[in-house]
Amino acid sequence: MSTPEFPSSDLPGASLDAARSERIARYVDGMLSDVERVAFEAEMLRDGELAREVQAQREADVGLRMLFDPAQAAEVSLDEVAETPLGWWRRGWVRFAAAIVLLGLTWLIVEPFVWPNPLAVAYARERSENFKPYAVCTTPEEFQSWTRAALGEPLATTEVPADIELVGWDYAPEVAGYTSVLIAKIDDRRGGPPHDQHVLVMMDRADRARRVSHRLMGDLHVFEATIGEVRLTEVSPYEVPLVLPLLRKAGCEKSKAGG
Amino acid sequence: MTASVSGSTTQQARDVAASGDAGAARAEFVSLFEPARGQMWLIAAGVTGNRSEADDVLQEAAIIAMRKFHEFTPGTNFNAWMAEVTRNTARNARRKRGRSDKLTRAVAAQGVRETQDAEATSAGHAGSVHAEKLLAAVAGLEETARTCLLLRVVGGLSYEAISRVVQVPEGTAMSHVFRSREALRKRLLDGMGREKSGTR
Repeated sequence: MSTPEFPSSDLPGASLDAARSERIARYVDGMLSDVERVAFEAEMLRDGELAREVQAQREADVGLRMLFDPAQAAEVSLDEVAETPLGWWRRGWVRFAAAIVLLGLTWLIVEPFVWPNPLAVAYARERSENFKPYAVCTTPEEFQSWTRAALGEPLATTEVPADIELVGWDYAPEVAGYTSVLIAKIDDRRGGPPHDQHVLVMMDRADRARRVSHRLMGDLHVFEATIGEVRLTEVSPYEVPLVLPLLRKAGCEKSKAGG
Repeated sequence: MTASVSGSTTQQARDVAASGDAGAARAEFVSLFEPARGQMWLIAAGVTGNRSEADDVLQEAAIIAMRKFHEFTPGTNFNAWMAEVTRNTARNARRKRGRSDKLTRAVAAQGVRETQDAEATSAGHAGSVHAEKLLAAVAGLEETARTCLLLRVVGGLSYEAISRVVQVPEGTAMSHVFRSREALRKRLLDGMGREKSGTR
């Protein structure tokens, strides 16, 4: 084993004592060569102080080994670690579930901004097309026939007020490919000169109707009702449903419309 | 030097390893820690200057190291890594205790009578090696010097190994050991002188 030289200038206050200490330490540790050891022991015979120092060093070493014996140290227990369950956050499934919940919440918040409300989109399209119907029913029988064919349920109307005109039918692919739209024109005479407003009623069979959010509708209002097996959604600039109360199941007196 | 980790032997730990990664990591840690335990205790004692506190420090360090074991790079020097954890834990313990090294030395200069008397008595060697004076001298050493001294004299480590574990140059480790031994020797010789003069 190599024995590096004692760096006598390495620590402050190093002196000739350091060289003497080094020799004593090397002797006690058995690190002197045979020649050095014989010379050192001869020196001890001549120098009583050196011999005393060596003896003190041996006693110090023995004392240290007894006082600081690692074998007398307390045992180390790792049980705490073994029995400590993984922190809840470190469990993979908790992280996964948390990520899913976070994504879900984020989606709920972001979704309306990513995709506009299809009801509002359908209304805007109809407006841009001047609420022009695809088909027009001229008699109550035609109305029932249309609804039976489109929705599987014949619908009828109660007496329609004079200021409301049921213009005709269209489709609303923005909501669903099979959604029928009843277009109604309102002759609005409130608060000024007469002007036309339009109300749309989206109709779907209840078993295939898509639930649509009512958020982000701008100035429009949404009302829902169910008549028999038909799901109806009125999209209107008015704060109360105007057309839904006029609809009923064919052969019945009243519908169960509600806002 | 005995080395044991209670609660599980290496074999038991290896059995546990079969049940998963955590068990395997634990078994691996135990197999590396057990041979190093003595050295780590000496480092804890070296930093704190207190044997009973070294027990607590080593216990805490072992648990911390076990939890951080994923940070250890396999194939590198475990003893050096573990020594760093032990040293930091010991320093934190000393800080919590509110004693600086300076204070330790000041107290040691007066003789930390109660603790050391108890420790010397427990050592059962007070008469032959002047345990009380020895402990006072050890307590009066600077932290790194004390650690180097214990690793060399008690642990029997080479200066090269001390250098790696304590993270000081090899020559510095030697200087610390020689000067610490000199301090202890002088303390014992001074004591002997006083005893002799007192008996005259």
